[in-house]
Amino acid sequence: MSDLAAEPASPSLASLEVETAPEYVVGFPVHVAVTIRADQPDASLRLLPYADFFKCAGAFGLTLIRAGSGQAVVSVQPRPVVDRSLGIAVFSLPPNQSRRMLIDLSAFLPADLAPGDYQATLAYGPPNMRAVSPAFALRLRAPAREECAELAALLPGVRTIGGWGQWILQPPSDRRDPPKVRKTDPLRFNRVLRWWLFGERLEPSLVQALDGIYAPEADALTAELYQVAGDQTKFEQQAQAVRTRHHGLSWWMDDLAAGRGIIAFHRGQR
Amino acid sequence: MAIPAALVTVRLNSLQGITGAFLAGTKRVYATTKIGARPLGRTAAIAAVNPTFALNRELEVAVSAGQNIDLEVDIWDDREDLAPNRLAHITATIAPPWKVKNYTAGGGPTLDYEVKIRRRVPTGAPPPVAAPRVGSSAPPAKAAIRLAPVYCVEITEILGLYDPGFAGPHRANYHAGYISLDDKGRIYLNRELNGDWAHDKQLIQITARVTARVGKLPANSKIHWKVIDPDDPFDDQTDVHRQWARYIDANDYTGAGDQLGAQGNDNEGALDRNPRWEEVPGHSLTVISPTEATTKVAAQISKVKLHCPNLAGDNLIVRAEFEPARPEEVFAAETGIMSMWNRIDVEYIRMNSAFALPVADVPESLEPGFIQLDFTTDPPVADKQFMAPSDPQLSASSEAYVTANFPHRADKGWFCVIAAMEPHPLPVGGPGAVLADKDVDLAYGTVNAQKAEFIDIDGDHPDADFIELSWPGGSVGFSVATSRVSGLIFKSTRLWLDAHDMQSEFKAGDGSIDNAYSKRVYFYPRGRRNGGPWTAGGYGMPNRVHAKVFAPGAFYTDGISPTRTVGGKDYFAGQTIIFTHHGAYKDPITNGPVPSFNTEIAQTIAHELTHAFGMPHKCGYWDYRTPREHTCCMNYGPNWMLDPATGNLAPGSSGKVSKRLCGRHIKELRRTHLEDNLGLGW
Repeated sequence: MSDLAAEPASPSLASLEVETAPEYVVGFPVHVAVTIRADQPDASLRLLPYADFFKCAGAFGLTLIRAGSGQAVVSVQPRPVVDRSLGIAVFSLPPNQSRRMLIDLSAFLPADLAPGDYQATLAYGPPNMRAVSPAFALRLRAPAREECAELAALLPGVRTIGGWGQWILQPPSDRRDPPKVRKTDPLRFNRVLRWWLFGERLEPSLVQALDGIYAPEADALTAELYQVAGDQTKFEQQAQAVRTRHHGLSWWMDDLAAGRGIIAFHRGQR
Repeated sequence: MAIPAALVTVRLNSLQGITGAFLAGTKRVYATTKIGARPLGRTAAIAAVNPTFALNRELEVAVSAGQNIDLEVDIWDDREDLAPNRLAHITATIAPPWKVKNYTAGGGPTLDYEVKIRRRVPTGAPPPVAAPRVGSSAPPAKAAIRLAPVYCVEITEILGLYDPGFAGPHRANYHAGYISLDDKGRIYLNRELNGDWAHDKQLIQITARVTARVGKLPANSKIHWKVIDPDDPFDDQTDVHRQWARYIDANDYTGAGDQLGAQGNDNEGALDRNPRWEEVPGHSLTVISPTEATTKVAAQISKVKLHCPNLAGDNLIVRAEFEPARPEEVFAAETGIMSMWNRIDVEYIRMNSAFALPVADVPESLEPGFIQLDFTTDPPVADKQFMAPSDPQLSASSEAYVTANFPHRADKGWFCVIAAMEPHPLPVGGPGAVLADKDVDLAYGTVNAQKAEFIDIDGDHPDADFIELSWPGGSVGFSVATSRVSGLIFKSTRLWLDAHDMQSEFKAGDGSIDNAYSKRVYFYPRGRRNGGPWTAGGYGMPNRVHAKVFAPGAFYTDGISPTRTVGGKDYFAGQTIIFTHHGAYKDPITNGPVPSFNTEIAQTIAHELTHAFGMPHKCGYWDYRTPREHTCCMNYGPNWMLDPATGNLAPGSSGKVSKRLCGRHIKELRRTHLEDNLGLGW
């Protein structure tokens, strides 16, 4: 070991930064934003597993402990392998860059998870480049009556198709009338994005519901909406604003500039 | 099977005349034997010059009138990686009346065999014979001599047994009266008698008929059922490499690897029911043991349900005897070898403009694992030029596409294979630019406190993506895992190599990716790691090699198998999409498939469907066959294979991937319980 300690060490990932919402609702998406960066700013990291709000299992692992009990209710490690053909894409993190990923932890949670306070730790990446987060708090409340009704209607189907991320990619039955979305809606991010992918008209005003933890992604999605609407000037202005305000989402703007926007793609497939 | 004319017990006693001259220059000699239609496997090794080599193979053959019994003995030299060399081929025919005696065949070595027992089945009660009365001048009266009753048992029906030689909608089909006398009968895992999916349930229902050729059936007649666990015959095929024969059927070998010859009692599966015998109404059942039971005969018929072991490749023979057996003469009946199989329906979905997939070429690849793939032929579906907007989105979009287009997605026992067009709009550009092309020194460092290797190149190249290392022993490519630029004026870039992973110690498990990749070995230019200390070797490169460094090229994927997530863990899900308009498959001139399309795709589908059983790729093994010419379909073409003697990599073993599996994948496929894969949810 002492010999190894004297050897040059490869760059790796710094500790994960995690942003959470103040409260989540049991059964609905549990979005957290994770920012990764290299432990040495001038390093370039390649072959990192991709994750987003559609899917994060595999790239991430989660340990969830019921506050005060010390009892782990979830203990899942990231996949030991990262491979395109097995459903995980990879990306590179260039020097002096960070990357913010909005991910949904509901895929990790047991169906019978009790409401309450939890301590969570996230792990990311394959074993040779694994990063973990400091412990962070997650508060899950029981669904209110209306939310219970919605869960009863949606959850069986959501489980069948593979989770709330996949729900975004399933066209809604009503494509004419945009959903009424409030800032208190625990499904608002998925609901809004799903509409933008498949709704008859874009309805950009829905972005107003995406505050709090969703605000940076709302800015990025706004850039997408400008691009879909064909307003190149506003798109470029918004993209620049995203790069400035949310450095970790610059990759998203790069994708849009390269014509790889998700809204444009899915609307083109309708 | 109809009542035979006779039951003839044939015994292959020995080979005579194994001389020094005969064995000269051989490596490892054994014989294969066959009586009638049944191969009896490899013998123990014929290790030393000995005039007599005991075969001790015996089989009761049910013959019809006029039927010959053919015998075949071949003596082979197992040359491991080279094709086995047949040293002698001895045949003989035992013709009616199958006379009980000793025989010899062959001209050196010779086969000593015998008809040990011949029992003719009476065709009925003998006619009355004249019974002369001593001292009487009266004409003799006709009198019947009271003979012992004769009972013949036939196995007339086996529900839940499928005949691969019988035409029908599947690769094996129910065939009335078929009792697997060709030893190819299939019993499906996780299936009801009618073929419907049933979690961990596998059974057959056997019907036997008793005919009294002489006398009448007594009132308390029963069938005495016996279950025999015969040897797994697959590994005894002469084209199975010794390395894999030992892995597939370990009890045919000693721990040290000495060949013992075909040994039965090698089933590994558990029974789904205790007792395994289940009564059929009207035929009361008495269980004697897991391998014996009796059932009542009613109107000449008796039936029983028999639950079978729950692993693919396990096998059994069922014998039906008549009880009470003494002092009556009884002719029992026996099935052939019946084997446990996984039967999977594979929904083949093709977009209108996608190239047709060679699905008919795929099933044979997985059959050594006792997996039957029944591809459906659905009408084509609408085109979707691109599956996703970009490579990162491909997984989620593919999953959504499968959800929307795989009608049997929620049905148990179904996989799907989809012929699609393109994964996403093509990346711009061709191969990556060459950033460096020079001799370099390999150097050691650490990744996560474990030994690793890197190279340094001149210049500012944070986008270096791929390195081709060449030395007199070969040329191998590595991806760049990480890099870092240093220097203010004269810049230099350190490129850390992404080691080549290999999963050579995998075991069947729960179908999760975690299990498949739980044991990994990482190979570097000059060493390897498998979770423990660094071991020198790897690719065996010298310290100084030639490096050609590339910027990212226009790589894009040609297929994807979306996983399913349960409890945060990813599971293989039996869903595969092939992008048939990928540049590797579509001829840019003709816009049709490239000439190698069918070969490559059949191999790819076999690879992906093996994943579906929870198996990892990059095993590093050759396929199961000898001569050793190709590697397991789970490998990637550029990767070198494992040298079992050193644990390092074998030069000259890349680029030989076939559509066949290695012995380890075959065995672990058989050991897989698909019904326990949480991702499949069956």
